[in-house]
Amino acid sequence: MLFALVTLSLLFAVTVSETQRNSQGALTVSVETDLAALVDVYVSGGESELIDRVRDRSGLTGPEGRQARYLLMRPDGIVLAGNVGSWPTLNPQAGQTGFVELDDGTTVYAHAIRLADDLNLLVARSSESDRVALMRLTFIFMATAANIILAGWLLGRRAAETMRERVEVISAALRAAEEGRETGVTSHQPADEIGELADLSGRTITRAASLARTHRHMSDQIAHEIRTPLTRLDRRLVTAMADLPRDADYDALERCRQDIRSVVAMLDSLLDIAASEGRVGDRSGLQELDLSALATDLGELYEGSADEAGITLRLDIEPHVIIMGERMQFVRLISNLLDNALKHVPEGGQIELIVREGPVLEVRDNGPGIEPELRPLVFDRFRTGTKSDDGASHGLGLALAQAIALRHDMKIGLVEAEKGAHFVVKPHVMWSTAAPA
Amino acid sequence: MDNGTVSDKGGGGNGDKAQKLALKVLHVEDDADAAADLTMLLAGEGCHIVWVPLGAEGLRRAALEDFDAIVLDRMLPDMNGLDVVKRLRETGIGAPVLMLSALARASNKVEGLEAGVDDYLGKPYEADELLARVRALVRRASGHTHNAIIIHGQFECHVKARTAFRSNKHIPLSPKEFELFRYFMENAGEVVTREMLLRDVWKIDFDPQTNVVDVNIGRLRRKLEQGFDAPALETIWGTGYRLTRGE
Repeated sequence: MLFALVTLSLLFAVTVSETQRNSQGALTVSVETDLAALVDVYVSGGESELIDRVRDRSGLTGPEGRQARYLLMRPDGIVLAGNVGSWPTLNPQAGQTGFVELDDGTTVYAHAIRLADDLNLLVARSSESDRVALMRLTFIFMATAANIILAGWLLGRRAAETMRERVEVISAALRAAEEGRETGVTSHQPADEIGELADLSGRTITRAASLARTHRHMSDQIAHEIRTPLTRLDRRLVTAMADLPRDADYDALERCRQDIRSVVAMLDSLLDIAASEGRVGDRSGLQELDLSALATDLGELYEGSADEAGITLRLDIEPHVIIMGERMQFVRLISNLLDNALKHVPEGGQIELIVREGPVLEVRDNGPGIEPELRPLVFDRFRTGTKSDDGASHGLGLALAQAIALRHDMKIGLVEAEKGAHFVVKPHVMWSTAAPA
Repeated sequence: MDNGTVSDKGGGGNGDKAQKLALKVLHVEDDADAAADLTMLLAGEGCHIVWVPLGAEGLRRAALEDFDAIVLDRMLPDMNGLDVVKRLRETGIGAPVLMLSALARASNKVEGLEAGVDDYLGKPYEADELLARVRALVRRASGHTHNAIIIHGQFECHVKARTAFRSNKHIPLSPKEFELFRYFMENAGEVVTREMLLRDVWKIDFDPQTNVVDVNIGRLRRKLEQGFDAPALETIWGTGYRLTRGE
């Protein structure tokens, strides 16, 4: 539409310019021809003949619609003939020509000459018809431009509406996928770029949903197929223990049962990590959660255990820090960090649980810290520390904490500390200034 | 004390040991060995067990007969246990459901509770844990909770005033300790497992590595036993705790 308007404007400018040039040419020719004829009359017939001819011609309108104007006048201002009231601002002695405004307001093209010392002649043609023609031309062009704009607006609006409807189909499918609902780009889209985008989106969503279903199905199957035989084994151990004499040593069988529970716990942690990693960027299931209240509750839950271990658990929690999250996952994240700290901090040590607006969650202790060579690996699966570790841990707690943070568009990092370990959980954007170890 | 607001959870001086269950239980489980184990366990407690291996059969039996409780597997050959419980609720069958499943991660339990099950226990399970869950389930379903004052032996729990007494002596408790005490009083005489305490008192569906439950129970125990000779809480090894009558 813009191209059409620019083209139209250029065409208008060229047309107006050409019309004005032709109009002026025609006026000049008309005036000069008439003037030459009157000069001939004066030369051949003298002043009286010229006066008669000027009187005859005054008031006539040429075939081209231009009114003829004349003034035959003595230099002292005595009018001899003509249809112009007063002499315009043209010098007859210099034979001046040009557009002038007459005393009645009419704009004319005129040529003034001095025929004799006591006789001046002005011949002019009105340009009014040319001005009207130019106005008509301008109106036609303006109307054409307005029609182009209106047609462009209507077509654009229709196109935008059609585009919006087509894009909305894709957006609705993506929103449904985001919210965890069954979805698909079902409408039939024309085979253009938007159609291709819809097709690609639909296939991507379908593939992602299929992967999520498969992942979930596989996780359930793995859990079921491993737990079921372990459950049978556990029941057999219970039966065997029941058959033992009262004074028999139950410890070995009981340790077997504990091992079974340990394997089950490890399996659950691995599946929890996989489930959280598989839901990075997935906003479904997230709800408003008071992180401050949750951290306070957990702090109170762990306070006794810290006390018994001779450790001070200090809570520094800013109130009403609200996040979008899954409550149980954040319980798990905070618990894992506190479990980790309680495992490594010796008697007399201190653990701090900190919550700040942001949101920022920190667990800091003054224990032995983490060896420099282990720091980059601390969030890896099955990574256990070398100090204070009783071997019971599978080294999955921090890996799960990391997966939970990522599932909530956050990141957990182990930051530099003068003493002990200092874990910080906060949104990705807040890590831009302080890189974790 | 107003009539109807006081309950004695002691059951007329029958001691602290749990009574026989004597319940009619529907068990929906496709694994015959697992079903046999559970039947032996519950039958030993005086229960009558009806076992069916399929979800559809379970729905049919639940519609035809009254059961005190339903123990339901999750991954059944013909349908998902979550769908079974949804269908049960849709058809107005209100028998309490304990889902007993190999899918026992925290997220699985949340899904189960959202689908309408009343309790969720993972396999492998401890026999005492399962019995405690079934007892608590049936008790909750029978509505024996939320009294203004609960009395069990020497213990009194004033629910609205949030105060605790032993032999008419006030026991100062923190808010969370009172919640623990109240939970024991509501389940007086029964085994309360660590998982039940985590779930119902702290709203946590997994077991932290740290011994947080044992320590908090230890603190409550010390307060309940201070100045008394008889123990207040009995530790059931490997399973949980039971409130005594304090006598």
